[in-house]
Amino acid sequence: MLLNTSHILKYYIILVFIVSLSCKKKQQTLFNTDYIFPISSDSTTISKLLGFTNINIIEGDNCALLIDTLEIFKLRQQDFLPELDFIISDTLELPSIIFGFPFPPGFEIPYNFENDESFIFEDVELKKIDFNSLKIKYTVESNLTGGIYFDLTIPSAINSFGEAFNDIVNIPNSEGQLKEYTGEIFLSNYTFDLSNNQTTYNNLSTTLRVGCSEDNSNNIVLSSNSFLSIKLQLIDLNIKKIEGYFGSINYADTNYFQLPTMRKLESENFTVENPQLNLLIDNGIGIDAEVSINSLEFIKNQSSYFLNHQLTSEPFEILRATEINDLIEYSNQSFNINNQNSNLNEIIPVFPESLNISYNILTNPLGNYLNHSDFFNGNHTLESKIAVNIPFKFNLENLTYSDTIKITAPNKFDANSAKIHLEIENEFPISCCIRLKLPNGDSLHIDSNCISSANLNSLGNLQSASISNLIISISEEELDLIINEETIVVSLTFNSPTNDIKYPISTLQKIKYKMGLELNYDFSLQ
Amino acid sequence: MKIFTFIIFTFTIKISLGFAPINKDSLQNKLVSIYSNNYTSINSTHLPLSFFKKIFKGGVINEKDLGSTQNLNKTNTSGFELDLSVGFKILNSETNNGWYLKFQNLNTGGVKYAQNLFNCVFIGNKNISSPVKLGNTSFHLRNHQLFHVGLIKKNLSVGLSIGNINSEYQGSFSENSFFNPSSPYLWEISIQPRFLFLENRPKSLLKNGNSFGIDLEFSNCNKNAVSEKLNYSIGINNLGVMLFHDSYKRYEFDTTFTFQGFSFEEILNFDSTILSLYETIEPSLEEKNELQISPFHIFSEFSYHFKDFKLITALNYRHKSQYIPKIHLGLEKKLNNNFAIGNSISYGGFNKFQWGTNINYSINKLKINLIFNNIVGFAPSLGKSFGINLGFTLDIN
Repeated sequence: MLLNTSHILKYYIILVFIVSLSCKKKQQTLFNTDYIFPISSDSTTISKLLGFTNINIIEGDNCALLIDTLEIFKLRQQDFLPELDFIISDTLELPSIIFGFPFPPGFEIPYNFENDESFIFEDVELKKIDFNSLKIKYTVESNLTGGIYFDLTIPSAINSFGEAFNDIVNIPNSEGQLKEYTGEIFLSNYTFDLSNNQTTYNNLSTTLRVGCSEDNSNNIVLSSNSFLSIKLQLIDLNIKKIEGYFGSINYADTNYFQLPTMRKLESENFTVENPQLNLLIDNGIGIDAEVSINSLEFIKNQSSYFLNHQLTSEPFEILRATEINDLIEYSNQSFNINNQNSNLNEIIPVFPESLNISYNILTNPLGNYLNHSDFFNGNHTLESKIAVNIPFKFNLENLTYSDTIKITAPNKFDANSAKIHLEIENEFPISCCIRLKLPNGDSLHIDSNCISSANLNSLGNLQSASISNLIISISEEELDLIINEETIVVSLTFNSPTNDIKYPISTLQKIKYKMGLELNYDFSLQ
Repeated sequence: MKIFTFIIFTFTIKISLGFAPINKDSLQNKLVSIYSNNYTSINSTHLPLSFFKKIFKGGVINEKDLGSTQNLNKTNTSGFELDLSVGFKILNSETNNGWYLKFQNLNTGGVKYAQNLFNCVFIGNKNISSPVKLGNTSFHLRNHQLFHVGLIKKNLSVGLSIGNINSEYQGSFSENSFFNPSSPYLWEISIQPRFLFLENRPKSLLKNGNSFGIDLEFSNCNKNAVSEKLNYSIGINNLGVMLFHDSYKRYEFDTTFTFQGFSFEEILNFDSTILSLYETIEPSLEEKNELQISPFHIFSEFSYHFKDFKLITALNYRHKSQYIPKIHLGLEKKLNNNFAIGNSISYGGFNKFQWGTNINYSINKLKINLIFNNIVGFAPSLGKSFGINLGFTLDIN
């Protein structure tokens, strides 16, 4: 039995030795693979291709039309009217005859404290204001011993039921000390007649009566030291309509528009068939105006290109809107800008990246010649737009689009090399050559790097799509550079098939592409 | 369910012990043996062992390690077995009646696949020009702990096999499943997979599943002194059911589509694209019980003795295991009273032909049996399988 045990022990030691020899630290398991898989396939129209996602492109006679509208300016109430600051402050002069009399709880002083105030808003003379809503803010100072109330009436403020504004404001006991009390009264749908029955303007009258609070336990006795003042202010004015004379102001501003897609485009020669811009001015306010477009400045690479047109050389008048049976009839003006009456054909090929418009608006240039007949309705204003109408029928030569694309790849992307396979079905009358540059300036190798133009008839209309196949090869070093720098510069050069005609593109024409990625990759198993 | 498992377990032990023919006489003639059989193998129909060596120990898998990759439509299998058991047997030497008890830890894993699917994974799909058929593809990976207890009545052994299922992973595809990755721009995919993942609960004695089966063996090897010219042993282990009675994941979907990459919009919103893709293949978590036939094991062995030689033929089959029925033919020479060596050829299992060798050594009451399934496996770049079986029996009295 002892012999058996020693044998078993020997076997055990040998087994442990063999197992310990085989227990080396595990290395990585690596195997090399060549995978190829689809990445993306899609089709793109002219609007998607140019990144005009918010711009309307419609089908014209035989080509697509780029239709867009830029808002140049839109007058707001504060642009042509000064701040309407209605503040009424009144220290109530208590008649000395009532000094020394004890006024019991609930007693109202039989006296109207009336105030009639005319406000000055520069040269503006208002006769009537319809408010959607507003608030009356009151501030009361009192040193009376005992609670009082104010019965406030504004006879010229009429609500939708034809009733004058009236409200009661309760003021607590000041116990002989001068104290200030504030509060707000909300009003909706009130019309304020500021003309005092067509005799004046900017006028507001109020009536106050003062009484003793029912809650008082003692009589109130007034003396020469008694003080009571009230300040009323109209705030949070939500105006539905104003009538009167709005004065004359000269409003000047500059608006700046960016056209970011254009920044990446440049061309040696680019001609478009009959592009048009229309400047539209719509006046929904009951005031006359004189509009001056001082300059229309197009900017590209910090160089300025000014539009030359009659519009920019002299001011023009825009008549006031009219109101018939509560309906506002706009006054309109439009100016067409085209290749014939301007230098538009010089500006479009520049592919401007921004636009500056400097303008002045002089309101009521003839003054109050219609005797306080100006009006402003909150839902209608004076605005100007530029309508763009550019047909996609053009000829281009060496139009280049350059962009730096940000690429985010996984940090542990250890591919040895990659190939991007592209199959492009082109229905556009444009050929395109692709150049991809690495951050260090080297170019990636592309097998047959140009996409052919579609097959066209003699008028440049689509007959059939062309199919081009491209393979972009990327070595391990190039991949590392792209992953580390996370950028790649794409340069596309577009050309029309010939330079003798302008080629139309319809909204239906597309570029379809299929993209596959081939990776030589060392898989590792930990 | 856990209480039910416990009751069955306790009850079967009681029954087994209750039937054991232990009386005064038999105790005097009893033969008690402790035995252990430990088998491990790794096999493939096409992959050299150097492939597995590099998978487990690391290194660069080169073209040679991948075996022949030319016959794209060939169906391959690869798998491993780790079957460890220890038990004891009490046998009345006069009546050949007794009982046995054995604990078995069974780990097996197998996968069946087409050659072009393997090429797709380990070489890439660049040179794949035809659809990859998945109809034959299936896999399993399991770890079961089995407790065998039973009676021996002369040539017949009958017992119960009760198991804890530590883990059970199964997968297969319907007959028509395929994918075609031959174009860089378009993949055609039509798959109906069925995957079941039952994972281990390592810190719990009560596992996510249990198995209940019977063991049957008809053998003349139970006798104390085996001296017949012809010995035989035919049996089946763990024939019964597996019951998955806790949370397990099931992936089942039926989908046919072409993948051409993502659109502009999908690439711009890649996070939501991935999320929606994930949602379409999110597994269902099953809370209901599922019953399956257990992965039973059929075995048979016939041996014929003449002079100092023994001619052996055997058959093995593991159910639900991508296992090809394995036929074994061997010749053993007894060199002296303690030592015998043999050679064998076999076909089946997770690979095909194997040329094995075995050594039997006995000293006093200890019998040791060492089998190398495939001698070619000692050269990992040539052999496609390697297996060792180490068994011993120690007679205590």
